[in-house]
Amino acid sequence: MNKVKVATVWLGGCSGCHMSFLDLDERLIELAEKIEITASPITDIKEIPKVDVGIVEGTVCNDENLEVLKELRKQCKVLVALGDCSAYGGISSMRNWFPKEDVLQRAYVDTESTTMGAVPRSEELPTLLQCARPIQEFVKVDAYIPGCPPSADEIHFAITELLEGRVPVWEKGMLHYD
Amino acid sequence: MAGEKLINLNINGKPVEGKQGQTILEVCRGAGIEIPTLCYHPNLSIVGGCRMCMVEVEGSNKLLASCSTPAEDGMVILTHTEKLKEYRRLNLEFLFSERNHICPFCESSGACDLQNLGYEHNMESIRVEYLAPQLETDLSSPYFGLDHNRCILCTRCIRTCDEIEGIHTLDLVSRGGKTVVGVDLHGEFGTSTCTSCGACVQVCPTGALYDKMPSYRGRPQDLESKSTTCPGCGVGCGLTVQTRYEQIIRVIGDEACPINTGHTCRIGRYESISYEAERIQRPRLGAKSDSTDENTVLAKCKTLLSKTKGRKAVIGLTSRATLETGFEAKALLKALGDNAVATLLDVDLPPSTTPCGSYDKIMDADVIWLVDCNPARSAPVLASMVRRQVRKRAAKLIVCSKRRTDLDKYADIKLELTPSDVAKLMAQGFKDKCTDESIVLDSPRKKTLDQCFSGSLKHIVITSDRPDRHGQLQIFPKAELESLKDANLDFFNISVGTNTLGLSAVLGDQLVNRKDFVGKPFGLFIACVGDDMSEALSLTVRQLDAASEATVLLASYESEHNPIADVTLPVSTWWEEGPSHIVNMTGEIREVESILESKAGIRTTAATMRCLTATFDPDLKDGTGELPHGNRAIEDFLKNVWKERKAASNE
Repeated sequence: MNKVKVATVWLGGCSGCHMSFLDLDERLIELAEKIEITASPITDIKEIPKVDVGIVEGTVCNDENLEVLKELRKQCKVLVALGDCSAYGGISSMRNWFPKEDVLQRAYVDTESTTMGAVPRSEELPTLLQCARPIQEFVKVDAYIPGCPPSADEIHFAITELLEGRVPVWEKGMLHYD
Repeated sequence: MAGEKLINLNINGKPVEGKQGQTILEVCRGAGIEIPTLCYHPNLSIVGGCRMCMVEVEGSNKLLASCSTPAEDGMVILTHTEKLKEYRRLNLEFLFSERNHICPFCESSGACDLQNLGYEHNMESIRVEYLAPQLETDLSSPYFGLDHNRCILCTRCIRTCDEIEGIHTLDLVSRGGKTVVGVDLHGEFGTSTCTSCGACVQVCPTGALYDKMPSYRGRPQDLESKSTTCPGCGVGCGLTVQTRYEQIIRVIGDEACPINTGHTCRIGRYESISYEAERIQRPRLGAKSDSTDENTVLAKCKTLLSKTKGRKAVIGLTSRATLETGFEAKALLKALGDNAVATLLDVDLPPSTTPCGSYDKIMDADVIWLVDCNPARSAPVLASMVRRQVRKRAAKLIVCSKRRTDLDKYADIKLELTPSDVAKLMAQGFKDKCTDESIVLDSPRKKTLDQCFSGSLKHIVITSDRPDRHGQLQIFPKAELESLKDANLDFFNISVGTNTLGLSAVLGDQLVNRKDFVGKPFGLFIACVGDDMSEALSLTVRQLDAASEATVLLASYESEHNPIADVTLPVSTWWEEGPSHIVNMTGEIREVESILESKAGIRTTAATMRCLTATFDPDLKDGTGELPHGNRAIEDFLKNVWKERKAASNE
């Protein structure tokens, strides 16, 4: 049987959702027989090949996030939003209620532990977007795994459903936004 | 009655019976059909703003808000069609996208109506663009915060502030997409007219209004809830206390208590818990460093008693002391000998301690007289009842005081008269149906005042027995008015403390006014302070300590305001006192429950008093045996006392 090819990316997030995925523990072994993880922060492969399933953690915070997201959308058949950040904005969007310049100033200059700080302006660096936004505002999303982070059980349920060819439906009791 | 007429509806294909006058929502909830709502609250007026409760009604080409549509006989209603479910979900998505509702860092996550509805409607994604507005957070109140980012503009807080607390500090400001809940228009809580009653926090369906102290200390499923009575004042509101790990996390008004139906005030909700005060852990002689065991301390008490033999002994009680403590105090008085009396440490004992009428009378009054008292400070929930009644133009408010009061701005007439002059004015008014020319008022107000006496209007007089500038207790001579035949009058005396009425019933003549001892030397002083840390109480304790030869202090908390007593015994707090009882100002018996387990080695005030009694007189080690058991027995006991008092005052 051909393994289902999966790529995962990590945009503006804390990696907690990927950690939660690793919390599948022994179920990972069983899963490894069914799926092949290609590009992912876990495998450290950067090039995204053509895959069946693309999984996104994190909010779209800067232009690099957006580029990666669009690339993954192009390369995958089914796109899954993993966690609150990609689905609703999450923690990363806390900055949305301050002007962008204030946020940069606070992070790189005003923090109590910083001396002689300066906002990095190199052209090599990604530029922050005006607002951090969930991924469905930019690309079509086929399935959601909400939660901050989603538990291993929920991730397992979603992947199992997807492998069966179904879009996971979150009944009350399983769905949570925190 | 028209409201009792039954109507028949068809809801979701099933016949359902309702009463005429009910809304569709009320009929559905009565029949166990749950329709989602956000802006609806059973205690508040209806706005029909959130659109979550939309239903399909046959014959109507649009969806109707069930909370604001009266149910009619023969209506055919659908409440949960696919179309409605989809509309409700979209409605939720609009609400979520309009502000910054980010659940992972919200204090209310897990106890949020908006979030719960999201779950109920399988809202796994938001299909519209987030507006991500930049909004303010108001943290200026010491008790709660207002985060506009999480507000859905349901106006429950505004309606509570207006209709329940009666202060109307909150209202909507600005228009359209820029609309926000404003505090005194564009002000902030810390410097506003807000009374900090916290009722808005209790009704907020999201995390927009949240209490500061309980923040992040537990979600509803982690907390244990128990009901008890508020220790704050003589109103006797019911409280629901949420605890975790034997700590009080949050106090809210008890929805099931008919006195306050969920409402409470700053004192009940926030001030009745000492989050930071240090508990007295062990009995001691003198200063804190001299902690020792209980036997040594009790032996010392006995020595102190024999040293002061032959002189007057005084038991000082906080008015928070429960009925049970009152009976133990009676036994202790017996053990102390003929020369012993008790006094209240925080309130001046009203001379005619009988219960006032029920609170319903305030909500039914046509004229409310506030005579030399300020209920907004000493009985805030009662003040909210007055404001409600006056603000809906149901009653005239006449404030009679030489001092400024918080309710002055609601007054139709303000008279700077002494209580006895008010009584004279009222007596004349009821007799002649108008007041004489000596009252200096402009003519419209004079007319209003005269109107108050015309017809048979229901009058409520709210008084308190307060000392004037010269320290003379000013007492409203209500007996003069009670004898008037034409007057439809009821009295509220709000100067009573939490359980003054109960303690006075138990101790009778043995309970005397605190003023009698100040500056007059006496023997042994047993101060039962409990967890009461009010300034008025501390002042009396210090004064009596100075006048006494020796002092025994029964207290829960270390306090720099209390004197260094010869002997200090730790006692439980209000929250550990139960199960016990108090009697509120209307004479109702209120139950005080054990919210927290008592700390090791610390007894209730009543049990500690029992130890003292047994030490002084071993014959009384089982008390006097007068304590009535059960509410019924207490009720009978109180009824007898009030009857005797009424008879005595009529003689």
